[in-house]
Amino acid sequence: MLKRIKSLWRTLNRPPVHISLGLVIITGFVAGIIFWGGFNTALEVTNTEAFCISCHEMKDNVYEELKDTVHYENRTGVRATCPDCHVPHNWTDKIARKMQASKEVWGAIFGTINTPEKFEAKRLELAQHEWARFSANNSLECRNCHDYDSMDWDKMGDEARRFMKPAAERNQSCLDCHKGIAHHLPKEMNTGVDPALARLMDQAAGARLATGETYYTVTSVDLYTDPELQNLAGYLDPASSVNLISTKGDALEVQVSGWRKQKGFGRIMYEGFGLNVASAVLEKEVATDDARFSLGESKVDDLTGLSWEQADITLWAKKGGLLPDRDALWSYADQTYSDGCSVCHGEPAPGHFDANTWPAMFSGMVGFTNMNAETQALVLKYLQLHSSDFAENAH
Amino acid sequence: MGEQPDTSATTDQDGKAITKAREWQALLMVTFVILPATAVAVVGGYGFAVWIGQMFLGPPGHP
Repeated sequence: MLKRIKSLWRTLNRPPVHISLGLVIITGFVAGIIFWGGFNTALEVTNTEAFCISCHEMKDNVYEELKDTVHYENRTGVRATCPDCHVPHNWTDKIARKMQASKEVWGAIFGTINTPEKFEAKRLELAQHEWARFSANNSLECRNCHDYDSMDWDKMGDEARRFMKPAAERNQSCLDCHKGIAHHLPKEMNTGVDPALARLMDQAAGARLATGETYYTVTSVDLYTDPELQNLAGYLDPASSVNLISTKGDALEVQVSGWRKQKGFGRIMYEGFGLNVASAVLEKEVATDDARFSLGESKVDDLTGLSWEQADITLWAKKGGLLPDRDALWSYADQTYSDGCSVCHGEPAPGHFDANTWPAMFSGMVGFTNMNAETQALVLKYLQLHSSDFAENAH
Repeated sequence: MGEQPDTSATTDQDGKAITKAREWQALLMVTFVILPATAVAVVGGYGFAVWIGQMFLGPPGHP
């Protein structure tokens, strides 16, 4: 080997005697063209969706999720492929990203994310890498197609314009609000329990209860018709009040008081007359069994023409989900509300809308936040019970 | 082409003849194997260097 290298070096180290200079130049020129073309072709091949999804890790997970989104299929037929968003277009950064892909090759060989479970376990970390990249380059890859300057505010929906325009003025990074636009969000963000909420749940689990007092649920709590907690009767929404009647082992006998609409099965118990603030949702068999309820007055809501009745029902719930007051719940909800909303815009004061307006406002926006279902229900209830119907200095 | 020097007598320092085949081998080896491999290695090395830089300086910012 060493001899061969030496021999090659000696040949190269002196002018050629058998080959003309012209032939050497032509050979070099042609080799240069072939190399340059080949290099670019190879680079482009690794920059196609077909190449990305040739690994089942990509095909079965992230690609499947993309298929449900507007970036895969839409009315204009313009779409984004994997590298459009995930590979920088600038040459230096692109080459660096290609080298980073050596980690992906490693992962493919050793099966780092070769099952859905392994992928889910890593999803948050992987997503955070991408979010950090988008955050640093101000969502450059989005802006290769989407440009604030090319947005026609008049063609935008009112709600969209209300948030896009201030974002454009601040030149805000797209991913600040649009996380999860092309792939599912990590479950830690969607359904995982927030540590602050978990603390409240721990408090509730250890709370001392006295019969005859009023208590509040932290998260939703299942209701049963029997103290053995066998027959499901429905559930209480977060931050709903109950009166503790008696305790039997691990079961609590609780009275739920509220108003029902005298329409349909009356499955939902509301906090007050004419207020769409749910406190409990009952199973149909329970809601339609009038013997279970003690009914009070009934009134017609002039606004909707629906008649409502005051109703109490006594059911059983498992110990451990109740707190003696709602102060801690409300301060958690208030914090979550302002944190979640202020990422993109100044949040309106809870008293800015009335209790029946909040659900539509809230459900239109909550998809942009990372609140899980329990937290969403709690925050919505906080907003409704601090809305203009209740606040003193309301609009 | 005129009078060609007697190339068959050309030798390297060790006195080994530099034949036409040896020159062709050297030319093709360098242009089609060694230099392309070097170019790929240099570009790849540059990419790794930028990546390692990003580990300390964070992901690339916006231009």
